Amino acid sequence: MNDKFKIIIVEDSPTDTKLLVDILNSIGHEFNVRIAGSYRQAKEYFQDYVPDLILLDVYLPDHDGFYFLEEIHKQGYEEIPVILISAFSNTNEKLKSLELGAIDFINKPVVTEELKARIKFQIKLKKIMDDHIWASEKTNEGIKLLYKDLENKNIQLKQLDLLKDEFINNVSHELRTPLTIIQESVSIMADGLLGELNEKQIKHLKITLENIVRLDNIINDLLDISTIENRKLKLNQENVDIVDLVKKVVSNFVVLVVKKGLQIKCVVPEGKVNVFVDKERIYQVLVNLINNAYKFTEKGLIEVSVVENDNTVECSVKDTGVGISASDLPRLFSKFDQIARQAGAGAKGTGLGLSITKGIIELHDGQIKVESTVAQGTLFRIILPRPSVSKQYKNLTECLGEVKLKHNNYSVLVFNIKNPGAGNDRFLDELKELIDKQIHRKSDQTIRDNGSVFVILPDTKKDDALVVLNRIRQTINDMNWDKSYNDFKGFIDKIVSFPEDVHTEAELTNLLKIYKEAI
Amino acid sequence: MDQPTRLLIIDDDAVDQKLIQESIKKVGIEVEIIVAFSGEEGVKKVNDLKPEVIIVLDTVLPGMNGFETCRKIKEIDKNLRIIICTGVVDAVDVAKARAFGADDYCVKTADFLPLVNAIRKLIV
Amino acid sequence: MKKILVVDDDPQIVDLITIRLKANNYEVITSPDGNDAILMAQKEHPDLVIMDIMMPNMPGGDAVRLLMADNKTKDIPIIFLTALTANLPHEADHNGIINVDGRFFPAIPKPFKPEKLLSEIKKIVEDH
Repeated sequence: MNDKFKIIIVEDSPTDTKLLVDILNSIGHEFNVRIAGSYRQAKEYFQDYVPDLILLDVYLPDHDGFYFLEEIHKQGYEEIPVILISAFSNTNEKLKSLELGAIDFINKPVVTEELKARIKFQIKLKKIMDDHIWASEKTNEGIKLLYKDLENKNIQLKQLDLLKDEFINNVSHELRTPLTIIQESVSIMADGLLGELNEKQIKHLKITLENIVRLDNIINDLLDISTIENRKLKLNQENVDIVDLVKKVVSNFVVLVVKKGLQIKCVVPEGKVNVFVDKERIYQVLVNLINNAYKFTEKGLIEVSVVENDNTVECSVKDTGVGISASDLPRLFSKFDQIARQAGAGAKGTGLGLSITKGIIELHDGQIKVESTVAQGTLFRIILPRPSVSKQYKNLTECLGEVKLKHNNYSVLVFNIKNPGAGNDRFLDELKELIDKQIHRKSDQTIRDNGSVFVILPDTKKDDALVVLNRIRQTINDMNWDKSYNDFKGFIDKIVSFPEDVHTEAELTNLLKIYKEAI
Repeated sequence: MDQPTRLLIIDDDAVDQKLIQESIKKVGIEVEIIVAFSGEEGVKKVNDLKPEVIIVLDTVLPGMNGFETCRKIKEIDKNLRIIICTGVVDAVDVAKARAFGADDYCVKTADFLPLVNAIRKLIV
Repeated sequence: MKKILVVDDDPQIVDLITIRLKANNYEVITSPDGNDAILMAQKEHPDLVIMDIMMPNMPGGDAVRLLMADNKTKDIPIIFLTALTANLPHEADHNGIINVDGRFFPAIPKPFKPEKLLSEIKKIVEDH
């Protein structure tokens, strides 16, 4: 690495040259110096030696210095600082040399300190430039490397993600297949299908079966927690009557609870309370909480309640069981942490239930809270956000808003299924696809929105809308939908026209809501 | 300076310390590695060890920061080579590194290759 | 007597299901893979097909597509057996459903409760 400061002195007088060299030596910086007696010679140096500074006598025999400066420019070396040393006769010459790129002037005879100062300044300037260039290069390099690093990490993450998917699927399959065989094998024997068995044999087979169920539950829990933690759990949210769901779960526990000498009751409001949730997963949560209450209560009562608030729906499970100590409460929802709640016999679990429950509730944008006193009981509270009308109909409202801006009248066809839930909602998916295929006009829109299908027909009066509806009804009849499956009870269709039926969007939205709840 | 045979790594992150050592070993660079977890500790070790050491230095340190550390080390012996190696690229920091006397600057990547290359250049 | 075609690549499972079904008075024919199952279905006209989803040669879904494509077999009801969790409830009081090209079929998770399988079968073959 060459960090010596390179200088070319263009001077033909030996005395003047010696003076300049002495000055350079007195500066104490490391220099590389070449001396050119003529401009031609100086130019030749440029072939292999590009200087950091040129000390130039302007009046040399073969050409004048100004010509030399021009030449340097033409060759692209205009960045090199040049200090002109000479007896300038007038300002015009100085101006001319400035135009040609000279940096500085020194009159002959040279004043040592003056030249020293100027050269030192050029040295400092060069260092600043070099530092600047170095910093820019390093910064750029660094940015490029970090960028590449990020890209690589991203690729790795994506691969890891795929591996997780594969892993979860494989583990599912690999664990459940042998479990199925074991279960069915034992089950067939226990049911006497392979010959009669004595009491003891049946008893042991039944114990085996119970434990297979335990194992199955553990596998399910593990897969659940894995799915939740890897953010792969997908919710199938729909409008669910939580009161109905609670009643269902409670009724499943009645026999067990009574057998243990406990009471269980539901404290719920009259009528429906709708929440926008994944029915299966909330079912799972309720089962988990009530099951815990059942496990950890020896006498007294389990109370499951539903409370409607302005913005939330609260569902609680209260028991008069052994309770949880204050020191255990914080760890309650962590994985595998089997806290010291003294359970009755046979009440072993994976330790994952509450963790899964919390994961599910939080995915619903809800909260779960717990209060407990040892020997008195425990209260679990689930707080779910209320579906607001605007949230449900967001898409519809947006579309209607747009349509209203551009059209003075429009009609909306509404299709609701009579018993939403499970596979029946998929009827709506199919319906939407079919209608999409049928729609002729660009401005017509089909919206699949939370339990309904809406068809927005701008510039369409009620009569015309009816024609469209009849066409669609015909298509539904021709649909390859297994109507006998899963108690599909059919659907309801309605037309709402603006301005014949309603005058504002709010009225329209309300009317649609009413249609839904009338089912 | 003679062929450096020692490497002093001044970084308060134990994980990074480990990763740097692994990356150096992986490419077959044979040096004795000494660690320091703060600027002050680093300066002390320099006093005990010089010459023949290259220093790898992070900018964010408890107590005395990397730039000050760099300057102090250069004050002890300006021939000691210092590479500033840090996790974030900041143009101002890069310029500062130079101003405080660092001989090279590189960014911490997952494979620490830029650092390894910077060390290699100085061992030549 | 109603005839049921059981399709699964695992012979142990086929065997177990066969024992169970025969004990409940069903005639059972079996097949180890999708391709063979289609031929069987065309030849034997079963009243129901119980089909595993994850099979090596041809996944259950594809086998069902082929069955649906053939006039002779498209109306045979099908029950899926599956070890995968996605979209299937494991504590719900009804079975899950799998959608193949717009048609919906009941799916029973493995390991299955024999009563559930039997009641689902009964619902389909007795009430048709």
